[in-house]
Amino acid sequence: MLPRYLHAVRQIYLQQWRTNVRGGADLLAIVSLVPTVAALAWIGQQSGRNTVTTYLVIGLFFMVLWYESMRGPRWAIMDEVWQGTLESSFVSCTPFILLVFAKTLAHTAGGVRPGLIAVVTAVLVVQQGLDVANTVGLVAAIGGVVVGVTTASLALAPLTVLALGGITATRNIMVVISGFLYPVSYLPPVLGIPSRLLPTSWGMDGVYAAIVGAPASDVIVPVAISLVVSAGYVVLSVVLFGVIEGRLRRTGGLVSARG
Amino acid sequence: MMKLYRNLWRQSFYGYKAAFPYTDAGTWISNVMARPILFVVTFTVTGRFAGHPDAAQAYVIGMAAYSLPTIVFDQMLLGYSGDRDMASVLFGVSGSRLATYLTRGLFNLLNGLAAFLSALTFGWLFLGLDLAPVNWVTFLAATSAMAFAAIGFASFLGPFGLIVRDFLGFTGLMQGAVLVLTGAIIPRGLLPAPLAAVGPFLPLTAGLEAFRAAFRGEGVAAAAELLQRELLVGLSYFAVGYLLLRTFEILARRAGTIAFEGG
Repeated sequence: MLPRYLHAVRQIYLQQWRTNVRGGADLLAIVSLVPTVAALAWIGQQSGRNTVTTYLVIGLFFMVLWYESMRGPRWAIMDEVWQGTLESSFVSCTPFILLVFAKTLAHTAGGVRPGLIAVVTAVLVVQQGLDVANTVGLVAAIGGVVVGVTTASLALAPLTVLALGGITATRNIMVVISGFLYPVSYLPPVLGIPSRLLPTSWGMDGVYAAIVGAPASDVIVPVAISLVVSAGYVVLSVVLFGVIEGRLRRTGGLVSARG
Repeated sequence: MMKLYRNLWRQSFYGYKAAFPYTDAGTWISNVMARPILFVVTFTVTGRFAGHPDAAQAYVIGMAAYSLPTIVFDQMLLGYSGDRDMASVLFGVSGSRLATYLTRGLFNLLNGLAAFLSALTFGWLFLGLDLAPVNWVTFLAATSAMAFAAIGFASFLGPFGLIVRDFLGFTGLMQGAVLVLTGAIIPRGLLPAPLAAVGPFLPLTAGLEAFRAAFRGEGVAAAAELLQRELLVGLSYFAVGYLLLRTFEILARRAGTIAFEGG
């Protein structure tokens, strides 16, 4: 059974990846990110502190990765709805959550390219070298953030389609509380508290601790918490996709899905 | 005369309502109220992280002003893009093209003003925007000028929604241009010369300077020249946009399609 699922995930991943990059379909969207990245990097550059600019350069990469990762599964489900192929996906013996997971992975991987463009843009704007005190800790924290981005995107996909169809600013909300552009301790409490529900806010705390050379425990603890929260998102995904599947089988269609 | 106004009002309202789902409460609140607030929070908190003591004053003002034209042209582009498959109706009716063109963005403009006010209000309530020094006459004059330029620019950009297939990417590019080139975040004096030279031709550039002057307590007379420039930019875009729309109509009649881009 497992090899069959792996084969399905691989094929779905490849299909989504090819769709994403076909004919430079994402080129204009990538280019249009540059001004926002430049403006945010410029703000960081005004600090004159390498720790701030380093944090922002890394965070801008993740912001762009997050854009792609979040956009992908939502559109993937909606595409299936519009094209009338969603029902066929449910008839398939591959669990629907695996289908969306593979598409999420493809979108997240696809986000690396615009993410690197964001990094180059930011480095050009800040005109300062990157300064990291604890490289090993940084790599670990970045790994935690990548896991957090992928799992949160997967869990949010059914939520945005089924429950938050009209809330098109979801992406912006998530960026504000993600911690990508600043440690979330800088947020007003009304936003700082919900930000702790996202694994990325913990992971980025680890990134900051690694950059400034804080004790190892200040890196390890937030990264560990981010992984635990990510695991919670995986469980949440299973539950939410179960709800989707149950509704489809009961009603014969995703009647609540909207554009 | 009353009938004319009523018809223009209807034209504006139904053009707005039919074009996109922003009349749905959740979508409207999300796009018009929440999104500008989130922009303001993002830039202001990033500014605080970077140690700018005046981040609220600089970025709340800049991003609130930025939200005005961007919401308006975003919606106008979306509306016109919805007409891609309805070109025969758009260009086939016998009504006045000028009336259609001028009234098309009225409700989008109201949305832009709502976005602008929600961002400013949030900045004042939660991010420490200081309203004490504001000269309210200059504030109103600058807001009016920015609103006029915003609707002019949106009226100009809107027809591109008819011919540009990836209008979302196009919208993103225009948003980026307004963000970086008008002084909303980065002072124009710090931009490379070729980029700085574009600013005066964009909406918001002069209006935002006048708007910032209002927050420094300066009177309307001091900002008069800036206000005139902002109005002139808006008027120019109105005129060029109308010519553009008529050109598209001529080309569409000649080619029998609006899909000039091959889409």
